[in-house]
Amino acid sequence: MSDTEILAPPTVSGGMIGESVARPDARTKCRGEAVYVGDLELPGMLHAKVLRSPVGHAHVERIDLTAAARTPGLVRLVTAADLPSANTRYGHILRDQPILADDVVRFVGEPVVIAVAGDEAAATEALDLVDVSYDPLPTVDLDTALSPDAPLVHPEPVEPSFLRSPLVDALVQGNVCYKYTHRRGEPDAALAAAAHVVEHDYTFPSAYQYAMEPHSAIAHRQGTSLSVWSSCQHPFLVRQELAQLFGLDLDDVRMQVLFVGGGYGSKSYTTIEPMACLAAWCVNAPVRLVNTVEESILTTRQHNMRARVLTAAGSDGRVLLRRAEILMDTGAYGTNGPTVAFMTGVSAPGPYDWQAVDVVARCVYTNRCPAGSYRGFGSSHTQWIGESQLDEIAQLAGLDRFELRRRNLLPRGGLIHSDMKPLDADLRPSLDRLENALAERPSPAPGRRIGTGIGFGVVPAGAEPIANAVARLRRDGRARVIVGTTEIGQGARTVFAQIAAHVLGVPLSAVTVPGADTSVTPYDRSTGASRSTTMVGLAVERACRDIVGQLAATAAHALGVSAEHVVYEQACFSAADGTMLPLHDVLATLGMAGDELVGRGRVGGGADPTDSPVFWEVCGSAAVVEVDERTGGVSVQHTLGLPDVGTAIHPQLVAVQDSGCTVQALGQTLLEQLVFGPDGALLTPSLVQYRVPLAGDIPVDMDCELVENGDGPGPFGAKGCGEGPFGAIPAALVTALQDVGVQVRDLPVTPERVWQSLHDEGGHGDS
Amino acid sequence: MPVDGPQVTDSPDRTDPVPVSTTVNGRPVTVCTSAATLLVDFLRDELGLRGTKRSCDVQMCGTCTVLVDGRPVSSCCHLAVDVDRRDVRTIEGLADPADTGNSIYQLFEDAFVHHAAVQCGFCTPGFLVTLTSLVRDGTLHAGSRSGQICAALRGNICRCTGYEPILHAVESVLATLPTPTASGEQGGTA
Ligand code: FES
Ligand code: FES
Repeated sequence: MSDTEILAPPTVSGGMIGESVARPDARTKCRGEAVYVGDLELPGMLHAKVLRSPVGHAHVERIDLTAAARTPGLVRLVTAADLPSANTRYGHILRDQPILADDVVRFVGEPVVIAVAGDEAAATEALDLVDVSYDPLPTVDLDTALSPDAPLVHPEPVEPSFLRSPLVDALVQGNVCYKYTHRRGEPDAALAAAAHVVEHDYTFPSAYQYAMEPHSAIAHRQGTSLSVWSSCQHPFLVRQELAQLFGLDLDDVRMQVLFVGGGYGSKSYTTIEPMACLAAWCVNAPVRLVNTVEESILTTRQHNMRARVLTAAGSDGRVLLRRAEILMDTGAYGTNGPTVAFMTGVSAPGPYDWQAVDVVARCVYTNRCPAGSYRGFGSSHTQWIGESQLDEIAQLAGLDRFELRRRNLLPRGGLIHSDMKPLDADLRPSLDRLENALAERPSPAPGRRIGTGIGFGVVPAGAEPIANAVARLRRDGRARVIVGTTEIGQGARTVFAQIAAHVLGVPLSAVTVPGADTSVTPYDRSTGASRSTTMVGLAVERACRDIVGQLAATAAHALGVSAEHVVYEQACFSAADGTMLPLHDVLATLGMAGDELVGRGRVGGGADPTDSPVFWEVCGSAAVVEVDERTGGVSVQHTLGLPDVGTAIHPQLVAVQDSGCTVQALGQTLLEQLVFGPDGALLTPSLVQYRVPLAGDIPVDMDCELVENGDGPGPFGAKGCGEGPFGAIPAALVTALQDVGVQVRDLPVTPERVWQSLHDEGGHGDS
Repeated sequence: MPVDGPQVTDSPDRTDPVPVSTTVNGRPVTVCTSAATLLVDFLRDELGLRGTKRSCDVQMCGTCTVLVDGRPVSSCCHLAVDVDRRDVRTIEGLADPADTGNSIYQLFEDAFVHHAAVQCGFCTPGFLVTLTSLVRDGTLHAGSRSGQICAALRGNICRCTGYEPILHAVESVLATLPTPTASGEQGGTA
């Protein structure tokens, strides 16, 4: 901050906060003028393609490049032998992943050889002629990985990496790469005191995030530095890994991010950048590597899960014990798996007031393609199970499902996890709104059943309470906000421009927010965990206030008063006696045309809170479903989302985050599933077999009502959004199906499973 | 669905150059290209028209949609040689004020912006190309119900918006169109 702090915060100048302005990037995107990495063409650029392992686990005996090397147009074949430094493994939590397989392949689809050529066709042709001999090893999956004689996916020691936290302490033991344990209260005593106990086994499939732009990167080596353009969410963390892999200083790796064609977690952390950089390192020309969607599925996916979950309650319906034993399949490499398993463990109890909790979640290596982040992870994995068991308890206790929840819902300040910040939101009013919304149940047509359900998403959000921003205000009143956040479609650039316009008192059209460039934009940890508006938005607000403070000092001088007596409102500085100085007159005192003021905004340090999570992202949802008894078909009639955003800086962007998240969650619950063969080969390798929601699949009515209590840690009381429904919607859909007698223990709830459950009615015992 | 293109039967080698004469966004183009070149690559890499995006490669997602003789096709599953002597329009052409379809395109662009139907934007040009042509050929009109709109859009995937803002945008545009004549029901498909 500048020496001269602005004392009175500027009031609304452009009415920007809470205004659903048109996105500045929308028209560019409509017209096909928005540039994504795959659209860049650099002089002399070469193209890379990747040869992937056809087997799930094997020694690589020999790689014969002789025939391939003669391919016309080929520039270079690259193998693990070409790695420039002794650091051959990457991974932000566990350093377990090679850029290219050296002696062992661990999943079907693992990269083995890169061909670099004048065009993709020549590179592909060369790869067809590469001859690799594999000596097969036994494979493991989630069913076999923990047996005592299971082959190890990583028999060699795995080093920890740079992103460690006391909460997620990953350690490889056998095929388990991280174990979460949370035990509080007296589980056995709670169980002994229970009047009602429900316990079942559940499975959760692996989904594919399907960002429509596949992972794309261009890398260029100049001497001992690397310039990288990538469609990634977390450029600063990718930079860290590339610097380590290539033995470079952080500033010798420059990451630039243009528009990103969707992320949802699939572009968080490091994906294909090391391959692009290795290829570029070997050829001294820019190299472009763009996945096909089929390759992107093999690059990252969501963790599938098996869980045994127990709920015990007293005769009054008070919840006593939530016990869960969870296995998460992270595939051959850890990537973000330990964090995903941690969040899953944290989310397993849900927002309820347990007497005791006993949760173990293991993150397990298998011979499958690696799994990473997907929107709302953890909450998406477990909330549907938790709410489903609460409905079962309500039935056993003879209580209304809302009444049961009212007796147990955590109040503000209630504890979700002993080592984490207490709940910082009020769920009770949302519960009442959901109950009201579902008060009238439509009557079904003959042969149909109509069920209603509810769920809460409670996601630890914000990742890390640190952010930086730089703001620049030019003499002509135009401003630029420089941040490391990436624009993945969520509208971060729009919201930052609103905040800047609001604080600086300039029109929205006067503010631009360029993309992230690690050589220019200040450090930002990541774009994810709903943190951009909350954390970076706050840094933007502070950077702009810093500028206003500098202007106020000049204005005070001109007005002949001391700076603390100057007020900034409606783009005007005024003294107590009513004399005023418009913003543009103050700016006119700057140097020649291009001169500017630079403001700095920092979140983290000083009086800023350090507790974790930064905030709890909560969302209540309700669903009404119609089931066709004859076919098992499910049609979603209505969903209601109540995302708690503190303050909506752009209500429309929040609403479309909710609708997008709702439909992705609907796909997750009813449609989507990656299916693997016995050796880990993907049986659903493309969008033909992997079915995502289409326009005709969405709920007939989708409503979103924002919860705004102005209580978020972000700018103007805002909190992030867009992940809560991923916990809430699957839970609402599952409990709605349960409401009409469909037993759901395995997702996705396909028509076949619904039909089977309806036809098993009465005869189905507990597992 | 794509229009049927001329069959390429006697190409001895897929890399042999084949002459292609076509009109792209109103400009005549005559080039030699490989018989194996996909239309999407031809437009993006050889003509530099990168508004057409590529995603699924299997005719499911619609990001690569362009118009061939006025009808929407998936350029990922179309060969460049298939547009020989045909008229191709891409998003760059439709968005150009000089294009004959621009007035309808412009209605959709305005509605997409207004309804926040654009998030990451990767799917957006494909949606706009499809929608513009479906209105021009009468498939979608002022009387289209939401089921018909969804059916018409079954070849376009969006992962960001949950479709709802897109459907609102489409409905708002259709509401401004004149009521259809009986023959207006005929025409293209999604
Ligand atoms: S890329 Fe052509 S339809 Fe998906
Ligand atoms: S806006 Fe991102 S896929 Fe549609």
